[in-house]
Amino acid sequence: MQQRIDPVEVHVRREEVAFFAAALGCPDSAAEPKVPWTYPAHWLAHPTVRQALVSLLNEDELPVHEAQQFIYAGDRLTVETSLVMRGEARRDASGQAVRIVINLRFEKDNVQVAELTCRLVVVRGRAGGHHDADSRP
Amino acid sequence: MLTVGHKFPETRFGPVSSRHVTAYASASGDDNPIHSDMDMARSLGFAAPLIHGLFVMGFIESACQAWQLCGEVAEIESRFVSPVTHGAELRFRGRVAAIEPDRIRIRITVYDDRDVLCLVGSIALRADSAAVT
Repeated sequence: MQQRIDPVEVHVRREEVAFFAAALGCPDSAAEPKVPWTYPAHWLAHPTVRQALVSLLNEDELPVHEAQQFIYAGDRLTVETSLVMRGEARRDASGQAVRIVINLRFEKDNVQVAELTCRLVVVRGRAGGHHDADSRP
Repeated sequence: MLTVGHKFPETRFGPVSSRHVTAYASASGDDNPIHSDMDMARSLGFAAPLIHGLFVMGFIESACQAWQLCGEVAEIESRFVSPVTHGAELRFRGRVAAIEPDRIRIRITVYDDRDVLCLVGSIALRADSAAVT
């Protein structure tokens, strides 16, 4: 089973970066906060990604992160940048895991920025878990 | 100058409280109840809710800062070996695993306060930018 994640524009917003960095305990850095290396992970909660993931799961299943890889094509992301995100989610043949690949390119010139690959194992949890595509804060 | 086999001193983070986990859940948008719901965690066989694996991974950057290791990251990857529950203290160890023409690879291992291996991973820094300050 496979679901495409159609291209969608996402933004590296200063306040969201600062919030994410603070949650990681990164020191507060003046006017231009550094974008944490793992910041793109927060786009896993984007409705388009969630919707793709939900469609691969049964009601009583929960995905739990097992492994991930971020590959950066260029320098560190900077705040107030617009990107285009696309990718795919695929449930493996055993049914025990889902692999999500997200590709990020600069919106202005289509230059590759990063690729994020995640493997999530599927566990049986409470029915009607958290995978509400509209529940992103 | 970095050499293969160089070990960075162990650096610790935590204890990672429920408050920290809640803040990460809010910032990352990952509101999976396995990270907050005690009943659910127990129903899945865990003593307490789990710390987000990506939260643990996120501390790698802080560990590198503690090691005064800087540079442009080309790749960062990790695999979660065992679950970590709220309240754990995390101990990060790093070792220079490879020096390649274009990148320096640091192997990372993370242990909890019971000395259980939680995460294995690595970062690759671009060789022309990597330095210990």
